[in-house]
Amino acid sequence: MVYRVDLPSGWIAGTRFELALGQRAGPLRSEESAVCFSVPADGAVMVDAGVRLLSLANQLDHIGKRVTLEFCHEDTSTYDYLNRIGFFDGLRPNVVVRPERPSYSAASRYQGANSRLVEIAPLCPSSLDMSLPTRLEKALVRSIRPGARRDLIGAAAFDLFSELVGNVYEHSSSQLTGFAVLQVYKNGNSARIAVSDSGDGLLETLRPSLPTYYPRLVGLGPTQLLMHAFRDGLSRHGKGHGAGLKRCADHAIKLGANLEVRLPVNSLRLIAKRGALRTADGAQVHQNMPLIWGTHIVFDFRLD
Amino acid sequence: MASVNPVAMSIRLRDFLDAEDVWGSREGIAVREKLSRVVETHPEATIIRVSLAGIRRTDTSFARESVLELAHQLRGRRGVCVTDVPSQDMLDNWDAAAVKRGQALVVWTTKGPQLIGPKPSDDTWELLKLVLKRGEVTTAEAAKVLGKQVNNVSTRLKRLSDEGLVLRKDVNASTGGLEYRYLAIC
Repeated sequence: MVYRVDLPSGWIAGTRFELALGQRAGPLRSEESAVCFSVPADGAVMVDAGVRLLSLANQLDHIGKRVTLEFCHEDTSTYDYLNRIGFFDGLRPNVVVRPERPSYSAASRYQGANSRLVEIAPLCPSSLDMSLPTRLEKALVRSIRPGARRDLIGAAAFDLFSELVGNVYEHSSSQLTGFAVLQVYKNGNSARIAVSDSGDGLLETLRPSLPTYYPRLVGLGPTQLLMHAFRDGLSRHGKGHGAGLKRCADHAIKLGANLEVRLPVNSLRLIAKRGALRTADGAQVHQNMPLIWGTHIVFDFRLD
Repeated sequence: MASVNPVAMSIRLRDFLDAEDVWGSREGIAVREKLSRVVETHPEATIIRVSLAGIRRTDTSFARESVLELAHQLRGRRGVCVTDVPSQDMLDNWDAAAVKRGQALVVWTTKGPQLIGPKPSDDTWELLKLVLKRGEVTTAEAAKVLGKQVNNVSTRLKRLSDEGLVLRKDVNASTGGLEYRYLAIC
């Protein structure tokens, strides 16, 4: 039996990708031994959905499921785009790609040639790329006119990438590769930053330390605990640590950014409003979602 | 009354880095170990000035594990201050790290001294500013200038010394005996 995930047509951001996974516990918990992701010809996978799909496919392969990614034979635009951003470079070798894996990596061939895009950067547990936050910051800044806003965004981008990438290396406890990516959207004059890992997830990493370091927070649910982590800073290492997440939140507020945090079975969407990060109106807090291991953080913000 | 004349050493943090941008706890710990070795080779230096000149970016994790942790380890014995912070964003990062670490630090800017980290009460900040302005004071001098009780000022100065924001030295008083002088970390 095959667990099928049919991705929708049109733009596929993280939220639409999640909907495609269905209402069940998701392919990681399913009884089916094989999983097939089908990408339609006109399915435009956005970078946050791309790294989430990549992480999930690798997680499924890691636990021994047969994973297939199917692309349309006739229209190869989505396939070509994913090749261009280095999607297939990060895919574990056992994952089957149909019609076939690219014969070469377009990301490697054109690396750095597109100022609006930084290829998906692997975050390998065994090797720390110290130049990554600077490269991503500079790629972003090249897309912005000189001025105060550019300086603000440049500083924020460096901090966001260094803190989030640092968290992946220090806290994810996963053998699987994490990913960071940046995309600048020219028409909307906006940018999207996504950092994903395949670890235990931010809250699951924090919870064991709560009785020791933050006993007052033990009873908090996922939404409140996550809000606390961004507003006040929390760390599994205790009270001397945890400034990084708070700084990310500070930058999100300054940039007027939207922030999405996808954890193994929860997700939370926050918006910067009146000098604070707040949960967005409506059903923006999701619980009991299909399982995807790790912490997947996405920042969206305008460049003008 | 003779001044104490503390010995200061200056450290250019950039000389301990591979690049002008630096981030992460791991790198911070590695740099702190290097700084500690240099500081240990100069036991006569009671004030450590750390210049951030030539550095473009640091994140909070690096700031916490490198200089702030060093200041925390040395406090009460040697004082650490920071100079030449290149941008407000970096100052904000260091402030956020200092708040979390619970280690305040004096930062010397072109506008004068600023304090990063946990904020003291208004009275304690006034007292610290007096020490920073004069370079050194006794408890009696500070109490007189600020119009406060000697006991109150003595307690606050002792706390500032314990927190690594001023240095305390025993000196021979002109009237005989010993007295404490509190020295600015600059």
